[in-house]
Amino acid sequence: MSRRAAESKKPKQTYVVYAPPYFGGRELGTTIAADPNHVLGRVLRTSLYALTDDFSKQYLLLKFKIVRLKDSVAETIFYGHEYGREFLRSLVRRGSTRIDGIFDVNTRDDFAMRITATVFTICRVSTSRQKAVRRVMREVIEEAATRLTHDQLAQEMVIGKTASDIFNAAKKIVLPRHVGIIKSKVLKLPSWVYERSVESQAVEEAVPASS
Amino acid sequence: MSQETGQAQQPKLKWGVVHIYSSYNNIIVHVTDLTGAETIARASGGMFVDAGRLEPTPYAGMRAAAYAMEQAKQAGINAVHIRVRAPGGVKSITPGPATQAAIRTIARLGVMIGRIEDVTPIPHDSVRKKGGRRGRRV
Repeated sequence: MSRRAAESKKPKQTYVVYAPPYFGGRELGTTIAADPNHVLGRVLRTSLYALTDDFSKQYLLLKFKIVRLKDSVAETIFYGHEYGREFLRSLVRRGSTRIDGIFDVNTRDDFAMRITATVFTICRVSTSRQKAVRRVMREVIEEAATRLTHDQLAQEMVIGKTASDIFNAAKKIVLPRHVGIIKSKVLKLPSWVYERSVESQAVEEAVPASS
Repeated sequence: MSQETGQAQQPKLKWGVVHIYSSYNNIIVHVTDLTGAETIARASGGMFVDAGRLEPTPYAGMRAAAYAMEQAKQAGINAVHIRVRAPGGVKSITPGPATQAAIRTIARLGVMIGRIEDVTPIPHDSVRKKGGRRGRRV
């Protein structure tokens, strides 16, 4: 009991958490900790509405992981996203098929990600068509992952570019009602994430070393 | 003091998260920072009633929420997201009777409320019910 009381008396510092630059770099909120090392690795959940002020995107929840501290400023990276539970529930209805596909991919900059794509069709479709749609999903997502870095892929998934690519490919097989990347998560971070800031990595990629 | 300036300034929002775990046996109100890693305040129904059967009641929920939120307000929290959770899994997926009272209390305390989410763990298939193969032996 006395040890706990002594611990609680430690002054705790407040850290301001910011979204990564590729999501606007807005302030996400604050977190408190007695030791700066405790802050690293914490994950914050926010909605896309908070980042874009677009209320129609309230259902999309994003996760950001704190990877770097500069004094009291915490830098984050995209750590996954998902549709809100109620919104996803509202898309499911009787008489139409929901085709899910879960794929593990590696991005160009060595992030391992698990991406869940879903196609809701207008009417029920046969298993063979469902399989064909799943194959199309895999092709689109794996192509995007090999082409893009983690931050670019995150942007494309959240904004809906990947989903619209799947839509265009899948509409030749079935009639889609809604196509979306309903969930993504980062399975493995490359070691450079904790060593260098995200911005410096982006700059290095844009301007390759001339040596 | 510069408080008497006359011009009403909107206070800067300091967000927290209220995790409400509400079963048919108790309620736990837990206020954390946005990451959920740092506890700001915590209260349970059993802290305010004597009988175990009263722990999940709306009264206990109201008292627990008021107690936790008062502490959170002292820590500077003036806006919260609420995450409601029932036991889930093979147990009840509906939150207990104290939930509504707790949420109403938080709203009445003048704290801004952001998202209210249901975060009950719901298995896609199912998990094994406790008690072993031969069931609970009483």
